[in-house]
Amino acid sequence: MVVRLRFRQDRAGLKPAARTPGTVSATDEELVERYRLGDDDAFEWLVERYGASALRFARYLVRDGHLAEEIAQDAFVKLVGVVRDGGFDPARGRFASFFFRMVRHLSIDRMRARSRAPQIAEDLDPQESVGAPDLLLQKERCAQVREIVATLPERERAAIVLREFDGLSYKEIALALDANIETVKTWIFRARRRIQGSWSEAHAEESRTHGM
Amino acid sequence: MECNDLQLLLSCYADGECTPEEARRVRDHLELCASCRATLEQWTAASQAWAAEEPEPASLRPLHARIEAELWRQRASARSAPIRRARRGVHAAWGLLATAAAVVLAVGLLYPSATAEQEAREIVQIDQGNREEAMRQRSLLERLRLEIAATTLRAQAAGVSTERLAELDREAQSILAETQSLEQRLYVLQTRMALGALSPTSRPRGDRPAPGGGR
Repeated sequence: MVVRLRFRQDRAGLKPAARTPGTVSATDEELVERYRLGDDDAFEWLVERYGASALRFARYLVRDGHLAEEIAQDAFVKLVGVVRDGGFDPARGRFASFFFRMVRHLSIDRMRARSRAPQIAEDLDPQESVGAPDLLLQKERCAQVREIVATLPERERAAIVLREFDGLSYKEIALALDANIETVKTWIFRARRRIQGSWSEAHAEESRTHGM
Repeated sequence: MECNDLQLLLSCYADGECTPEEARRVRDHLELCASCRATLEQWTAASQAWAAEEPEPASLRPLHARIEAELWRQRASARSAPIRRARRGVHAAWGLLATAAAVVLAVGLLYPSATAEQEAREIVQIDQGNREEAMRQRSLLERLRLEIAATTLRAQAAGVSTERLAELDREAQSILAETQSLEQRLYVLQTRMALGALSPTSRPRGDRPAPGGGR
């Protein structure tokens, strides 16, 4: 099953990164209902839509690629039971909030179980740097941002990832992170300010380097 | 509006989370404030750089496979669960039986009831007597039947016909019935005599002297 990813339209024209994968016309909630009624293909579509997001979100939370794969797997397996038991109620919020909340709780459980201190993970490092100088520069910048994100408090990190990559609204993020909207606003703002600070320093460093 | 006051609202504006009124205020401020415009541009650039190089899984097939394998494992485990429960149930039942037997044995050995034991012994004795009497009765009947059968065989061996044997048997039964009747009659007579129902001074009519025998 091949599903092309498409980018969600930016709401203020300033956020091209927010996106929702999947080209099937059914909404997430419709797919969940179809799966509950026995359509296994609907579950496959949900995995296609949310597989990469679950892996990424878990990876940013636990900072361990292998553990993130286990968490993503557990999340979908758990989703099977929850949906079959009628545990998802669309009236209480979108599926995305419900699902990412589940991923986050599984991540917290795994981290507690392993009792491992969060590390600046190798899995968050960029791919091997190859290519043109501009591309290398872009990779370096991306690596800088990810390093900064990795140092953020857990829920700030979760909030900015869900916003930047999965395009969740503040309300949806609040549901996913068991918080209120005002708090989510603050978390995202703080995360941006931290990223901006590091970004500005990197730019200043680049300018000095090129000026020499 | 001061820039510091606007920062949080600027972040909301970047995400399209402002009310129309808030968005208007932000736009008005951005027109006048180069610093806030620069901030917004940096946020956007950082976001784009981050998203552009974020590694994505080349394929979700491994994830699909992992999920499918785990679901199969769970289903297989669920299918075998009733068997495991049944086995556990049998083991538990045997355990209970063994425990109960041990308790009964321990109570019987450690706390014997003298009264109950005596009663049980008497019941066993009575039962034994009854059983012996029954065996005697049955033994007598069996012996008589065997004797009759042996006599019949002997008679047949001696050339007595079946019809003659049946006639002899009827005569025997008649004699037996008459004998029993006479035995009962004698028993009743002896009983009445013993009770004095008959007067010892009374004489039979034949014992009286004949009239005019002395003339």
